Amino acid sequence: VIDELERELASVGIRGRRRERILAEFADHLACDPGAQLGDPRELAAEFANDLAGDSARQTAFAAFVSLAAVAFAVGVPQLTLPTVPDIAGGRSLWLVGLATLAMVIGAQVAFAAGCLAALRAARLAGPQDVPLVRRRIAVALAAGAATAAGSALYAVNFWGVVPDWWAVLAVAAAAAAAVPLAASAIAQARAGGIVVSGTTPPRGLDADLGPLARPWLIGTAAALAMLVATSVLESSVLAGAIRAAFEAALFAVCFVAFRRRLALTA
Amino acid sequence: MSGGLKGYLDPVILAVLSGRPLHGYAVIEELKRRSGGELDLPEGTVYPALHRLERRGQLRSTWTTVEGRRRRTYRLTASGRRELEARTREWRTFARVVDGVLP
Repeated sequence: VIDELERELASVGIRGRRRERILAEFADHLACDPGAQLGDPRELAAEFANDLAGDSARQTAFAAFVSLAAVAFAVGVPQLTLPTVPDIAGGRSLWLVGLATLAMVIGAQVAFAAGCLAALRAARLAGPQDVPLVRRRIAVALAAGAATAAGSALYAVNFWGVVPDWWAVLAVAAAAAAAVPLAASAIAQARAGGIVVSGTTPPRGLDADLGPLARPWLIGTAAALAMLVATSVLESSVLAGAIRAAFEAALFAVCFVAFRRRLALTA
Repeated sequence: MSGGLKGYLDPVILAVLSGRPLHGYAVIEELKRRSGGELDLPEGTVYPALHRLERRGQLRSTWTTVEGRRRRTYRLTASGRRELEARTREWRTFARVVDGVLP
């Protein structure tokens, strides 16, 4: 039984000290009662793995959410303290500033959406069937967060010498600092991903996270309207607001199509 | 009647450990004793539950050595005691409601 359990634990990704501990406890149990009915080793290993995967998915999702908050701070503070927005053509390369801006704009929104959805599902984890989805959402959120931080650093590098030196240093240092919690979350995610969940059925859709608000078109429209109002007020131009709103709506539609299945964005 | 225990294995284990620290085999024996042998679940299933409760901070465990064997002994934490009280209240309410409905 112990040998078989050892093999089954290894096959579901439970190794090292955790596996040694389980085996020692079972060996002690059998020493107390050699005829004990411990159950099917495969089922026992699966139960350990499903439990462990659920708990680690929950912890990793919340840790990733905190890491993304650090990214938001690291990118937001430089953007808010930039004395004057430089001329777009005044930097090293139009390609570079375009890439940096897209990474910040798209990355931030994808990271926010995927991070929130990962945390929501992790908080309402119904069982092992939700674990792969939480893992996918975390992976997308962390990748998008990394893109956002990289975009912020690229933006500063592009305008180095054009913007004040202290600002460029601040932006690059903040992005580098945000990389630390992101990397820690990515490592935790990779470790948690080594545990194999079994007996999974398809995960529940977006309605399990947002209830009656699980209407993507409604969320997209609300985001575009918010952009219209915010830009119109901040830039005193309804035309600028309309352009940003149209961009936001297009961005939302593209991201929805791209991530619909990976993030389970339909009801 | 181990099938009927679904959803209540965790509080039952917490209850068994509320008296004194025990190792896995002793937890199972105590479960059988307190239930008059009615709770006859596959013994191995208690271990994933013990590990789960420890990860959630409701149990704490330490190694001891008995006759040359390593043995993990579990004890209830303050968080575990609170959880046990909450689940006991929940069960009492549930049982009272069902008792009131059944003939």
